[in-house]
Amino acid sequence: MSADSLLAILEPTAQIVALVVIVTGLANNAVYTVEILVAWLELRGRPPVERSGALWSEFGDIAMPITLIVPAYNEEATIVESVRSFLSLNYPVFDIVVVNDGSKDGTLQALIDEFLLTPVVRDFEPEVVHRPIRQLLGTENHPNLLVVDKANGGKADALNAGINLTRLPLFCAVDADSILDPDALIRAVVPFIEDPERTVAVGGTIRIANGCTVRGGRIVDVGLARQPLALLQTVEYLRAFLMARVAQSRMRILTLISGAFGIFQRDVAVAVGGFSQNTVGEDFEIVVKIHRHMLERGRPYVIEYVPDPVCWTEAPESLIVLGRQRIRWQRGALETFAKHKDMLFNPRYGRVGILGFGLILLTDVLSPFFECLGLLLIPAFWAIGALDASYALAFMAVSFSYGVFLSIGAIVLEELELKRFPKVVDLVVLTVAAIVENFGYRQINNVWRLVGCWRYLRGAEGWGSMPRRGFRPSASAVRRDP
Amino acid sequence: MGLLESLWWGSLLLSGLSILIAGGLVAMRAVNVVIEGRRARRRDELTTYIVVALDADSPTPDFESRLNGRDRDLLAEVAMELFEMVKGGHLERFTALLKRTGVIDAARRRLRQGKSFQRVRAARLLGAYGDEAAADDLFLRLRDRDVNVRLAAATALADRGEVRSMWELVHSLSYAAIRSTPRLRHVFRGFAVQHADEIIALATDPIGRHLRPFLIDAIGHSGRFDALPFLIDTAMSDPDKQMRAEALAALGRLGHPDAVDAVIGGLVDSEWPVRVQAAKCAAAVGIGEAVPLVERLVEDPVWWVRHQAAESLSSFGEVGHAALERLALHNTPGALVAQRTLFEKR
Amino acid sequence: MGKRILIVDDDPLLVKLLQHKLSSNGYDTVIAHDGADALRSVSANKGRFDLIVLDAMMPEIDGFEVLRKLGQHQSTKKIPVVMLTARRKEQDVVAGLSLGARDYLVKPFMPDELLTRIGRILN
Repeated sequence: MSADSLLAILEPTAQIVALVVIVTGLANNAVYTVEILVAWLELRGRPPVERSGALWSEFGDIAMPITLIVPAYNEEATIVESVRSFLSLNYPVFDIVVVNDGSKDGTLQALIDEFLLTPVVRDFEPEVVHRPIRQLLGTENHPNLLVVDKANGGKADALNAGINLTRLPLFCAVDADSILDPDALIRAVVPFIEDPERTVAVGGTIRIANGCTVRGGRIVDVGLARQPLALLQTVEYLRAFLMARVAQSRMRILTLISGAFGIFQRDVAVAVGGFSQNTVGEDFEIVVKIHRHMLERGRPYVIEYVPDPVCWTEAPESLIVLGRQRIRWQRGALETFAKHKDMLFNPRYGRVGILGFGLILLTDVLSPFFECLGLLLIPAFWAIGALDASYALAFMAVSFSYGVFLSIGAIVLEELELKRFPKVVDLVVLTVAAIVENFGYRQINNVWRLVGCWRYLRGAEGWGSMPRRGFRPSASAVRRDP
Repeated sequence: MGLLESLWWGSLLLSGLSILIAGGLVAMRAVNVVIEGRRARRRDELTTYIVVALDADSPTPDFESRLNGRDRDLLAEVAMELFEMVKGGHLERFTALLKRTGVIDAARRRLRQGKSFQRVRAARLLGAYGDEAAADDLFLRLRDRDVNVRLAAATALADRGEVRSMWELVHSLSYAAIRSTPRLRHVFRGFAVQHADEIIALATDPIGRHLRPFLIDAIGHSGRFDALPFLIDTAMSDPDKQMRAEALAALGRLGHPDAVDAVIGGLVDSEWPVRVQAAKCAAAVGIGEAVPLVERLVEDPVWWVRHQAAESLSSFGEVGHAALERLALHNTPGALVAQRTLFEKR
Repeated sequence: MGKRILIVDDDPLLVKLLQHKLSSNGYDTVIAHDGADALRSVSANKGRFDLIVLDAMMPEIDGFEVLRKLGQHQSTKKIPVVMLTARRKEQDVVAGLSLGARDYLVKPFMPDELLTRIGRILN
């Protein structure tokens, strides 16, 4: 067969492939564009951010008590500092339950030594399932601190133990290494105060701590990450997490509240059986369960995302560790999808089933697949002449340059409405990073997503190892004052 | 140019545009940094002046006459911080300062003409520092088109403890998409003592129906025993479980032994929030006759009820303690609760 | 020689106010912006403060923790502490007093009253 006739056969196929890739790319970009616009509408419309003092005088007497549940596994290096920082949060009445999930290191001992813990007895009802508790510890010095020592069972398991041990109407799930702004709780609790009957869950903002100065468990100076990978994640968090979630919250299709900082109504969490054990995406899954629960019972409800309260977290600076994180997230998402696949495009589940799930399917599953496909095939097809240049250009538009518009759009929105970066230089660096994000970083992310899909299909287990640097000064991404 | 190619050029255009906008914002930010710096210094000067002037009550007319609009905005900001910080003589002198320098007048203007969030801020300022005339303005704001402004005005009036007409207040707050919010609780509690009669009347008036939980709650804070029949009646026969629960909570606050019938009824109510409040009320008022029923509730199917019942028993002294010990001997979930409560209260 | 008072609070406006009030009434003042700062100041000055005005809500080492640490050493135990804080729930007041605070004032407060109470403690 001659080269020409081969080409003649290939051409239509190449065109179809290219068109499919371009269309999915367009759809994906359209989703993000709508999200940025909706986020802009939402942020513009809210009243300006209150000072903490004003919040305290307005809500100090009526803010309902919250339990902060802190699951900890092998956090010996940083647990004491974390707990101290949680203890000094500006909130009128709150408890802290630290759940030592069978740590193999000195996490428990560090707590015992620092806070002079002794065994205590607590009245509780095992309403959600978890591995057995070995002992409960407390101290007179901090009557609102309870430490639960239990057999290892994973983060979801530890959270469930915390849920059982709290008697308060709300609980806030955090990571042991999250750094909360001192007024994060009082800001995040506002939707519950404004609408106590309908609000069932609230998510706050997660921001990247790399490049910030940490002192005494608090962020004292907001700075931009220096390391390129962390910098790229900063842009990504603004676009795909902050703006997208603001938009989804407004459209009432928010399906993910980060496990690093989320407040839930205890009753509802118990009613859906707490956090599920058999998935690595337990924070996504519990929100989906809650949607399901409320929709099936026809109870009016609201799940909100509030951009003001901030939780700072350390972003991975190594490709390997970041890759593992993203692969895990993808698997978690797919596991949740599989578990709740009857909600997909099911009108019974309203917007969440149709729009919420649909969007995630598009942006997190289909689009990465087709983009990777396109990246492989389209340049090749064009090179051998099976594809006209216009297809290649359109593909580049959809995969690279349009993305620049979206990433910078997120930066612009952040600057207009939120202004969390104090230095002018930061803004410039962010803009450059936003451009760079689309040439390589997003593509790698798509590859990780595909790997995550693959792993899911093959049924791999577990979390992999995430080495924690903690917040120690070393060649540190997080500058600490002594 | 084909559709596909135009996608390419279009995307370039968009990204180019966004980079330009970003550049513009960077420039604006650079300018802002300078402005913010000046603002911070000016604020520092103003606060130093305030701190000295308040203490010695020695204003400097020269300094004050040279204040401009931006200074007044800064003063308004500082005003709210000070309000949360000090009271008494200092605050009185500061109020006088705000009047002298025209900040109060500016706030009254903002209350009428500003954007929503400005009206809310102005309402707060006037709630803290305004005078009689300001109270009138606030009262007018109860008819504002923005529900947040109405709520801010209501809160401001409640903090000052004065309102021309409770009826007007209830009217303005009912017609809104306000769902139940504890801020409203705060508002009505603020009027509980001085406007108890009106609140009691409104609690039975159809116009108050959206706000009944808050009105009932406020009655509990009024200290008025003549409202007892109403509360008892609500607790025993209102069809809405939330109202029955609120009424029992209010009875607990009033603390009058006449509540006994309502409590006994509440302890066997079919809805668990009502049973919880009844158990709480029994302990708050100290109703001995209720103890056997409270004891039974320690074996209630709903855990919150069991928990509250056990807590309540523990505040009945010897009798309660004995009850808990009896319960602790069984082999039931309730026994577990009793045991643990005994342990904790040791 | 004037009495030395350590003011511990992270609110710059309040610090200004207190500093002015106290120094115009003959006291020497030293400022600390948070708990860690306060403890450092106390040990650097070998505990030679005549009184401490202490806020509760501060990062990492809050006021109650400062009280606890002060109470653990002979040299610092006897420095009278007046708490001045927005935390006004009963359990907070009880906590402060039982940790050894000589007095507990709730914000909003009257600066003149604070002055009077300080005067009484120091004389």
